[in-house]
Amino acid sequence: MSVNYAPILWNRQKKRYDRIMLGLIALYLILFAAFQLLFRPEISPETIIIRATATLAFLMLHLILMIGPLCRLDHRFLPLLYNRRHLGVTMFLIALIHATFSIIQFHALGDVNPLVSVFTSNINYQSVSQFPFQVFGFFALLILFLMAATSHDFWLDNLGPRIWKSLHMMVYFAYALLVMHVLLGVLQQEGYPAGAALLGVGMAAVTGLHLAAAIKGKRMEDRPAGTAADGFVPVCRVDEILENRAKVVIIRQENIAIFKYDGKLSAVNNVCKHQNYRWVKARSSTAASPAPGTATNTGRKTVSLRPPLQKRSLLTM
Amino acid sequence: MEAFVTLVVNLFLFYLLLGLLFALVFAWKGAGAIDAKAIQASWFFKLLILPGAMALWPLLLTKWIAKSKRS
Ligand code: HEM
Repeated sequence: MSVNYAPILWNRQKKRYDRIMLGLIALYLILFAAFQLLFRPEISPETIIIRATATLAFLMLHLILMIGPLCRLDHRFLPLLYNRRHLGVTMFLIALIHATFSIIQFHALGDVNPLVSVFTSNINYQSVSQFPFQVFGFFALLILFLMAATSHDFWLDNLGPRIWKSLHMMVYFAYALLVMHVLLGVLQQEGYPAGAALLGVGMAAVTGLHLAAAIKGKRMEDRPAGTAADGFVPVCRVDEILENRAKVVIIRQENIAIFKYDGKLSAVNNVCKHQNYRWVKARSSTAASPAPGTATNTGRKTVSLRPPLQKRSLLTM
Repeated sequence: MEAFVTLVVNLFLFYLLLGLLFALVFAWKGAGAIDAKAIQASWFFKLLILPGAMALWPLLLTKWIAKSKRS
């Protein structure tokens, strides 16, 4: 545990992650601008910046939302999760460029406060096809700002995991606002069915992956919920966990990782620090007479857990 | 409609202005007062927590006051 907060946590892997991310961002922006200049030379540079940053930020938001369920479905995606925080902050900064250019381009030229103009320049609030879609973008940007501004560990420690997590769960609300922003904005442009189709693909991917991960989680959860009188739930055999590795089980909707190292077993619920990090109690016993519902009766040691307990507990096998 | 939106936007900007003033003091003194790990943190760290402190200042102010009452 460090004594002082570091401004940004960087190590070799995170630097590599960030370099790849920035390289791909630059590639996207260059390709987007090149295509626009080639096929729609009448478009102004400001519009190219507005559209390039808008589509890039929205694309990145899709990726960010998909990383969680992808990792739950297949552990090979875990490297993407490793530095999602930097991905999120970068996405916000790119969305901020889009919003700033849009406000300058469409709202800064009159004598009304540009922020007021976002809400009042178009007052067709009753219309669907002419709805002031930028309002949705404004509120989504506020949420993304709050998330980016509180992404440092300092905020997790001082707001507490519950408030921090609720704040960051608002990303789904921001996503819904942005779907409206884009859908209603696209409706107001001519010849943009491809945009609407792409949006449909993006939404299907995000919702589909979340559903698939939820179904997988539900299947893993089919464990007996505390059969022994002392509340211990047998979960697996000791030899199912490899040395220096962890096995994840779900009991009563809690994700619990059981680690095996130095001849000891240790269990913690939820791998992420922001997910109400608590230790659970683990014990192993010889499954001579296993509790009903457990599959093992091999005489080998069974790992049993008693969730949730506040204190960490180690167990010597 | 415009008068109402102008009022709300001005209140919002006023909230942020107060937040900015609070955030400058908080980054300098308050962060260290509520969290020992922030006492000797760098300038860059202080700059990074500035936007969050500006947005969530009522919450941090109550935490800061509660902490100083306790100690
Ligand atoms: C104050 C906040 C915002 C304002 C004023 C705003 C304004 C606009 C405007 C004027 C357009 C139409 C641009 C055009 O087609 O020429 C647009 C489109 C778009 N915006 Fe925003 N926006 C805001 C926030 C956001 C945010 C936070 C995102 C998300 C990451 C976003 C994503 C998009 C996307 C994907 C499009 C469609 C781009 C296209 O049609 O090529 N916007 N926005």
